[in-house]
Amino acid sequence: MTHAALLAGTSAFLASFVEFLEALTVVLAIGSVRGWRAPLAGTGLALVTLAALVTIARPALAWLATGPVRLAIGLLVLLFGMRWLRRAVQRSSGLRPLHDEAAEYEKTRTQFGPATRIGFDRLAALGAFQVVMIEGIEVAFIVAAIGAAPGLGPPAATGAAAALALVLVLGAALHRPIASIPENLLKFAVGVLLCAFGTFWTGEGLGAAWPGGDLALPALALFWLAVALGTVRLATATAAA
Amino acid sequence: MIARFVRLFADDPAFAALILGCAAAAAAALHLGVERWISGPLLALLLALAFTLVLRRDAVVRRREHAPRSTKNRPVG
Repeated sequence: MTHAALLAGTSAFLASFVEFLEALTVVLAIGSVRGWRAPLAGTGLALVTLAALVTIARPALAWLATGPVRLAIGLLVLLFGMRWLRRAVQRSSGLRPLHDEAAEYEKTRTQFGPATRIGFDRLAALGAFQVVMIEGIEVAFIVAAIGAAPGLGPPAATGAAAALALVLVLGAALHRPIASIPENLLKFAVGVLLCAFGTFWTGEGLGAAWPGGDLALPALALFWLAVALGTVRLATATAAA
Repeated sequence: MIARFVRLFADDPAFAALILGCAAAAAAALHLGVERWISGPLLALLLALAFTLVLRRDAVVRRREHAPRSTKNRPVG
């Protein structure tokens, strides 16, 4: 496996893991107050719909590898990645409160409240369907963007599938929010990797050549890690001054 | 989904414009005859500089928000 394929698989896995984890938190919160049947049905329906959408859109993926489209994809991944990394740096340096999955879980539980009527709970099913669709579409977009280059589609898709499997196993085993996972650290890593991919694709789309070819990707990841760690120190010092 | 993409720009248009500006600068450098192998790293450096400046601005805004208010214009009595 090449460096680029390994990095694509890892990036897709981490990004998908964070998104699925957010969906899982909401589904678990709904299930704990309204029963499990409806939210599980909503989740299942959303996963089937997502699979159908990805299958239908698959022929379009080859089109993503062309020059101008690669530039557009690169810029979008860059916008995504820098936004994630900015928030992760803000959280790490105390400019923004840490994202709290446990608080999100409690908030959703309060919003939904206990079911009041007997029968199939449409509101619970719709809530689960909506959140899984929103997070799932984001995953589909990230996987399509990361896997846009020839040969990177399968490792990116495998990374996302592994993340979904892991989140489903964790959800089934724990039945409560996975608050112990350091989510900001994951988002930090995903931000760094998306910035590396975004910079690489944008450069390629513009017609620039990267020294070392695909080896520039791990180098860019290290570069963005150094930039992010440096900005955490800078932001912490500036805010405290 | 469309709303999510729009949010990428709408959240902070200046930040998005800065990123697009960096890409435009790298494209201009290529157009002006800068070597292809320099343009890629140049893009990365421009983006890193923009990112650092934005985070510095975020920290300054945060500091101002939490600074004690001036008593200069407070009404007496």
